[in-house]
Amino acid sequence: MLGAIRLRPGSFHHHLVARKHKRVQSKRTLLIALSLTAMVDMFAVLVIFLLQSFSASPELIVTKGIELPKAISGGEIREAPVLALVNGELFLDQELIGAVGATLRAPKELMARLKAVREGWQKDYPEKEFPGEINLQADQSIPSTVIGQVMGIVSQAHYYSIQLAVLAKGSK
Amino acid sequence: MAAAMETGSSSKRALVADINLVPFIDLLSVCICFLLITAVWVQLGILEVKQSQGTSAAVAEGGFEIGVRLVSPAAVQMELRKNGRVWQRKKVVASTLKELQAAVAGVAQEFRARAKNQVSAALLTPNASVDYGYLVALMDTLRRNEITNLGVVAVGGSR
Repeated sequence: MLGAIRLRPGSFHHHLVARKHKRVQSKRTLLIALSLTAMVDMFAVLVIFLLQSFSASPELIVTKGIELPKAISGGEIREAPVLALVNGELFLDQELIGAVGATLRAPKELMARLKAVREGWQKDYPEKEFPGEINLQADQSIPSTVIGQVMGIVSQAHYYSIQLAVLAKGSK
Repeated sequence: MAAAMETGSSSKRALVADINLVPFIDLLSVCICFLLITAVWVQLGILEVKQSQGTSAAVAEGGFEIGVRLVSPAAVQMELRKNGRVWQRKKVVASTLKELQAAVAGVAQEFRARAKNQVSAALLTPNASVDYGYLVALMDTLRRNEITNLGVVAVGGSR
């Protein structure tokens, strides 16, 4: 090789070249293989679990601050307007109606809103009979008479099938 | 993932069949994301109450009705009625809700036997000293004893 210089053993340049050679020799190829089998297995198990717990039935949005009562014999939720009693206030489809006490004394506003919902439904489905269903959400610590009074008002507004939202026993 | 297979031919070439896992993992990831987003972690249900005002949910013609009047969180008055006439009356007292539920279930079964399984409805009368949770627990007990047509008396209103 042209320009090749024979290095004298023991010289500094010889030391540097020898060190570099040593390094290159010691460098082994590090092969990192990711085991995909375990990951695919885990994914498959997750998908199966989530598919099993998947529910296509309509869901209720539970208003914050409500601790629903528990029941074993609860049925499947059906789509209907939601009336919620939260912290002393009454909400219809998440719109504030007013204080519970005031509404029970003078239920005009609630009756008007319920009537508007009923008429809206009837407009959308003119050929069908109004099912009169309504979902009622209330905290389990509310006196039962308050619920009874609310039910009375609701049934006067032609909502005869009242669906009480409950926690299926076993869920948190 | 790769699989090496002997072809069996004279040349004995190894056939390497590679399955591309990337789209498979992508698909699984998308599935997991979708299912996680749509997952329902709290199981909700409904207890249906049929208020009799102007509906067919009232007591069936000639059928018996069980009246459940909540006296206190520890006591319940139960009546077996037919056409407004009381056939049997029982007071149930218990120290805990579980005991009360068990006692109510027992009386409900007794009433059903007396009425020859012709109990078509139960009507619950709430009380200011009893929580809504108790009311639902008793309704749940009645439903589990095959009394599914439930009504609640609108205290202070009409039913």
